[in-house]
Amino acid sequence: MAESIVNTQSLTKRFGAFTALDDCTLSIEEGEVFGLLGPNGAGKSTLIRLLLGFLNPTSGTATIGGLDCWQHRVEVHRLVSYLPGDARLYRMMRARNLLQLFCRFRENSSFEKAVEIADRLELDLSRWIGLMSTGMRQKLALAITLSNSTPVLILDEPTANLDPTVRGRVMAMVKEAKLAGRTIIFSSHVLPEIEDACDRVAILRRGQLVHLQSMGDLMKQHRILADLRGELPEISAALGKQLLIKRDGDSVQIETPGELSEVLKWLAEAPLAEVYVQPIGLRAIYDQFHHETTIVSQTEVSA
Amino acid sequence: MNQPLVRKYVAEGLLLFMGLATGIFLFCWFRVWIVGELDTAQFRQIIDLLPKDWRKFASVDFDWLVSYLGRTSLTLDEPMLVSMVCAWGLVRGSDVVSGELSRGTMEMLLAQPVGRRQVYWQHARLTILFLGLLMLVCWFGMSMGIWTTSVEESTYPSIRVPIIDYVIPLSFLPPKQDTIAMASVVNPIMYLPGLVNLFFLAICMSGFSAFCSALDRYRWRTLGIVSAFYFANAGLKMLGVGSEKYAWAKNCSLFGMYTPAGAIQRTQVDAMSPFWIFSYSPEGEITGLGLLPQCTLLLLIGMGFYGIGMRVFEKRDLPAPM
Repeated sequence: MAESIVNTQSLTKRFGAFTALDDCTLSIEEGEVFGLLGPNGAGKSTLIRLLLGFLNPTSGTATIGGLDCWQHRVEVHRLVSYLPGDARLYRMMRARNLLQLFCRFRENSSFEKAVEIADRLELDLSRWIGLMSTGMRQKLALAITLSNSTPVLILDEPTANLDPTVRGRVMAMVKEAKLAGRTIIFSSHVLPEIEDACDRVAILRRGQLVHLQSMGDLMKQHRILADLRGELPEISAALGKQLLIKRDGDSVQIETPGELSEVLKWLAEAPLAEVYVQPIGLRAIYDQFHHETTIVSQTEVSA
Repeated sequence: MNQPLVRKYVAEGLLLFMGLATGIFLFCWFRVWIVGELDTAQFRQIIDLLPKDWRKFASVDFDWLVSYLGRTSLTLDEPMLVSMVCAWGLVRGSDVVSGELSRGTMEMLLAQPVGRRQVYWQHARLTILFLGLLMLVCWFGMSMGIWTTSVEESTYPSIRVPIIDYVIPLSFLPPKQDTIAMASVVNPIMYLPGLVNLFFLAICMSGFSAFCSALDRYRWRTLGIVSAFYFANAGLKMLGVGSEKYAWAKNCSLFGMYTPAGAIQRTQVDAMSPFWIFSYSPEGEITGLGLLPQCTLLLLIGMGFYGIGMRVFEKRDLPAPM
């Protein structure tokens, strides 16, 4: 098992009476792509800013590579490359000069690599930054962030403001970084991107870490939708505990946490029509915590 | 020294520096040139016409003001020059934290392996270094004025008595006009004490500005606060000088420790006077602090502000860009 490179222990940040992050404990393993999900104000950016030492925790600790993120922030920044959610850059400089400037800050940064990334993102480096669109500035910030070889990458909404083609290229770069063994913390509102890139996802709500989801486990979960033309057959107690069954008139929705074979055997005896089997997907997990109306409850099935 | 930070800060401040340097150079040159346009004898007549009460507004003896050195030294007392020099300290000082936060660029900068201490002190070092360069520009501007200006001197014809070598002026004859180079009567090196005084005043202002910047997140607000501080200090000095009742106000102002013409006058009399603890009137009474303690106090206050600002910056949370 890989070692944890990022750890938080009861990490809490309050601004006066407002709690932005509450008692957050998590660990991220080396080489893992870790997603952060949650609506605006859920605490994702606060968590990232605490990891970068921009904010002083009210209580608890955050470490990267065993170094305290607040006390040893400069050393931590040698291990971390960060892409802000809203990258603001020096407007009075040309893009090429800015790349050179930021590459000089890090020993492990390569200007050639930064230019290569900029080319892949179809970015004109001769432009003044002040005259660039938001998307172009985002590309430039990506070129800065991905041009070094730090063990940890923190990407806060890396594909925001980008067109679909460039989004695809950015996601490919994220996968390349993962293949290179880098640990990536990936915050996004785009669920398919998280599903595509991440090994694990943390869902935050009102400053609290409410759910940790392994994407491997999620891939095994399925939802079966069907029209019911009678009563469901009797179900074994063991299987019944695993399933989440919701009836709505003539239709039924069954969610399974993993292995499908037993469920399919049981359903083969059921009077069903129009049967659809689909992976549950991250949306359903996310909605459990952020749309109360869609929370499904386990239903007792009577024979 | 962090080379990328140096490049960044130089690039950011260069335009302002060039503008201020040009303004200061031209102002100093023209100010000295204007002095040369006015004959000393005419100036004395003007001075003699001024009400006696007005003498208290002058930081130096009126008699000394009649000299070319005295009149050109007042360049360093000109509010326009002092404002231009302090503007560098106030504007650059206000940029270090709240400027970066306002622009939203602090995140990208501090996400690099650069400490807050390094960012802050590198900025302060360059602000002070360029302040020193502005002082050189100021001195060079005044020197250019002296080197390129000729003055008309009215002298009465005289006769020299041989053997006893006694000169008798013939004041009943009309005076004759001689044109001489101002450089023959004014040595630009004499401005050094006044320039040193101005340098430390500007350091003090930049320290206060950096301190305010470290506390704030909006640069426009920081600039408002530091401008108010500057004008409040100037106002206190004017109040203290103008009214005996409120003479204490001068001591509450940082400008109370800024007396460049006085320092130059004292240095002309005694080259060691910049190192005196106190300054004295011709009658031997203490009139205030000497140049060395004035500059030391200004430096201590400025560095104190810088130090507290550093502490604040190291401990504070950095807000997300808006």
